[in-house]
Amino acid sequence: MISINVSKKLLTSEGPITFSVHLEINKREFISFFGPSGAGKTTTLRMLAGLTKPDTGSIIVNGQVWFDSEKKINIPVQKRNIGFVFQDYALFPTMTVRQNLEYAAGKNSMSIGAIMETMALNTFANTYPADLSGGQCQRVALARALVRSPQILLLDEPLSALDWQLRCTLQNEIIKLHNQFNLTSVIVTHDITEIFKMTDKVAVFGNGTVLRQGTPDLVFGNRLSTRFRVIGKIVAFKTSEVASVMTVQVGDSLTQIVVDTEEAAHYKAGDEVIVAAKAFKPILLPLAKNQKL
Amino acid sequence: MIDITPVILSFRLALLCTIILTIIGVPISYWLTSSQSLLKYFFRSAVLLPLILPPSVLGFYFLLLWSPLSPVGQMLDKVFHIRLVFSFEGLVIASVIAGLPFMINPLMAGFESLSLSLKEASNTLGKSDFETLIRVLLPSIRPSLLIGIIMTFVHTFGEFGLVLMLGGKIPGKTLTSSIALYDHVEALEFSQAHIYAAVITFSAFLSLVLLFILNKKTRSGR
Repeated sequence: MISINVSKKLLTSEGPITFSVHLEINKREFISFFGPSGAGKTTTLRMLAGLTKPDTGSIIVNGQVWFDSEKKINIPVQKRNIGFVFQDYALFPTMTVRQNLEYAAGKNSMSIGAIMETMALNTFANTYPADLSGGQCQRVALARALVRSPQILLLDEPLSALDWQLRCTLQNEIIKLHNQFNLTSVIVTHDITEIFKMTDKVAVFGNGTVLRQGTPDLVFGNRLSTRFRVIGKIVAFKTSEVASVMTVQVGDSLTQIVVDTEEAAHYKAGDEVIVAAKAFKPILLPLAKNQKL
Repeated sequence: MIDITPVILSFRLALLCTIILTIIGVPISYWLTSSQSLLKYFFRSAVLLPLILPPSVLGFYFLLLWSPLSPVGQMLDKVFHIRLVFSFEGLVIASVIAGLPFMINPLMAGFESLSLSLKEASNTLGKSDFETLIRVLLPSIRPSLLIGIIMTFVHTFGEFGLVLMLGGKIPGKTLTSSIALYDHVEALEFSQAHIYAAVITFSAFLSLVLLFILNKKTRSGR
């Protein structure tokens, strides 16, 4: 169990604020930090890691005090037994993939061979980071963060620079690693899909504090609805005596909607509209790679 | 032919200074880039001062400071029994100070170009700041280190004003190749002057070629 109870002065675009956060994270939980930029998500992650020092408060992890401003305790980052994945990967440029992992090795570390196998890195063992793709870099960064068998895995927007498909693959891999290594994990993310797919709990940051926390269903409950709604744009209009046919563009696809002439009088081509369907059971179909509607 | 002693002396002086500056330059420049202290601006200016100050001015101050008539010179004489004026040791110390910017500048530029997350990543992997500096940061700025080493060497090898002020042209001790060149020109011995000038020009050019070759090697090595 992790208990964070800290505050720190932060400089934001709206001037200095006192950021204070109270959070409890259970063992083996996967929690996401969500909220606008500058709301303190990454700062909280860094305070937990020991990279940023809070002004006041305490951080207690499994009964062990990591930080306490009153007792003047501040366990250095080196001794906190965490794995941290940086947004820019932070791979050491002068070391190969294998050397990056070997550098991380300490007394409790798992076998480099095994972790390379798990993360499918064997092909790149002797490659330098500059010659890796974004997804491969992220895999190495993950593997390196796990070499020392940390109890806590901290991920700072790890997938934000990757394309959608690679993201999906790596999301699955992170979930797998989280379960396989019995980790307590924290991910900073802007992506609601990531929150629903990966995490048990979400903390929403804003106004210098944690506004809400709970399961994703609970926190985003008002955004979830069985009603189907999309935003579209009217591109064409055809009116007859009985009804009008509107052509509405939603994303890449065009849909024709029949409305009565009276209602159609409120709209013109170019308007943005919400297309909603009541009593509606959506059908899901698998989308083939590169397929368009 | 010419006397080769001044050339060897210049080489010894340049080599010693470069070694000393490499050893002290790395921690100094790392501190100057990573420290939050306001003092760093003072030290930054102090380190860069020799770059904009004429070497003769620097030599003049060292001469006054270390002279047996000054309190500092007297103390050095009485306590340590050393006299830095007109001695090779004095030249080494003065050249190290004069050479500081040539080592510190490229190193600082190198450290500043590195993402902070490299150091932080190494820290999260349980490594101390010192181990991080030696194993992660320094190898990552190898080209900058190389530039610092070669620039310091070439600059010290050909230094004139400082050596003239402080050295006193003692053969084998403070008579370096650029001083020898000057003396021969003054005595209108142009054939000897030509040889010294050629040696200095050639070694400077060779150093630059070496710099580019090594730089290319470190780059293709990664």
